[in-house]
Amino acid sequence: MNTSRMGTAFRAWLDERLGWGTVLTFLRGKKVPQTRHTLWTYTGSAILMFFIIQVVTGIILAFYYRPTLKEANSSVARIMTEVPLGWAVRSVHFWSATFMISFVFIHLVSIWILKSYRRPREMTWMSGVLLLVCTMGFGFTGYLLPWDDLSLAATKVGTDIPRAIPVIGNFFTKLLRGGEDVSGDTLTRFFGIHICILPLALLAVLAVHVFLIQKLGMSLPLEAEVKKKQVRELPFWPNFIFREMILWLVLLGVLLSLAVFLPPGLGQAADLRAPAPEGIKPEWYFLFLFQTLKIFPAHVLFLSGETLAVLFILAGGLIFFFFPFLDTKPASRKGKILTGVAWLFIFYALALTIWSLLD
Amino acid sequence: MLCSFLMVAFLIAAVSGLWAQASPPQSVPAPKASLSPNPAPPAQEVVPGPRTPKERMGVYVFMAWLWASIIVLVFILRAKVREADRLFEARYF
Repeated sequence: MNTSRMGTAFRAWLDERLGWGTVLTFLRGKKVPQTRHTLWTYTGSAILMFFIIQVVTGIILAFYYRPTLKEANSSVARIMTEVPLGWAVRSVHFWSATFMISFVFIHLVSIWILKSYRRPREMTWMSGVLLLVCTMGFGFTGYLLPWDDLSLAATKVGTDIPRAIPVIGNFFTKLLRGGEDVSGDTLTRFFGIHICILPLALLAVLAVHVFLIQKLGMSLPLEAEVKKKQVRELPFWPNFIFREMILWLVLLGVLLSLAVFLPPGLGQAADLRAPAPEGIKPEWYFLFLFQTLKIFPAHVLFLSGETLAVLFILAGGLIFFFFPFLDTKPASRKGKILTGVAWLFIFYALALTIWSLLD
Repeated sequence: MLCSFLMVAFLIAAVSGLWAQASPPQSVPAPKASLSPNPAPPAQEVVPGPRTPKERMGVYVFMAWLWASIIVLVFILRAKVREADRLFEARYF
């Protein structure tokens, strides 16, 4: 029996048991609209690529990392100095997280501006926002794991913020910290959330997100909806996949170059009794929220400024999550006011991020 | 416009990441004597990156090979895209 016959027989054997022929038939029949906005559809698969890189590098790091007060910082130092190419794996993990969060932001913003969240894609949008929350959760919990001065101080500030929420705030802060203050329990808890709870949550939401995209298909741009014009479509396999592969290769090259030439450092092991260092700042993707908290005055009428700021951020988050239900216009109508609100928010987030960086 | 705006947003995010990387370490006050029963030994500065000249050279060679491979693969994929588009236009699939 020659190789091609063996291959065909093996495929038939697998198909009989797994029924994957149906999936292949679906992929061959799937079409992707080709417009001047198609560029943004590539960001989704780029996020998936970065997530896979995160999983692989995260598993390698977890082989050596020890989430205890005494060993957390030294185990990261060991990864960077003793484990063969450990510094490179950690650097790829760090830069891949940065890229993943950047692309999640770009993906969501492009969908927001192009109004792809409108009926019937409300749940696709909401699952996307949940994926953003999971991704930012990864960033927040992962930041503490090296257990150095800055990560400890930033986590103290970050986990203290929920206290400002009336009624449930204190409980939530204790739940995050595993006690009144940041301690070894917080480190263990964050590690558990980072490697177990968040990946499971993300995979579950991702499954729903991908299913909805396959079920509903990709949305058409507003111009095509308004003018009811025919849009050119390409098969997902192989035409679209080949195009995506070009982007994956280039992004992989950029990621590895940054990881090799700009690896992240490691501060001194955190001392729980030491005073907080000056100029504590969170990671760049939290800067606009951090600056929002800072610009509120100490007291506004009978409320503390911090409480008001946290409530303002929570309300903003809820509006963002339920945005498709605020913009219920038919797909063919523009909705200029809500587009203006979206642009205003983007400028606000960018301006506050730059302000915080310069501060 | 959206395209250029979002690219600018991405660039700002990337630059801010680089900025955070490149910024000098915060002025940390001299650590107080630890009160814990087993004080940790003074931490040594951990320098990220290749540790020996051989490892450094290996990394540079790998990067050169990586980018050369990417360029070749991108050219091959571009040809495959053209071919797939031509077959689609010809209603082959």
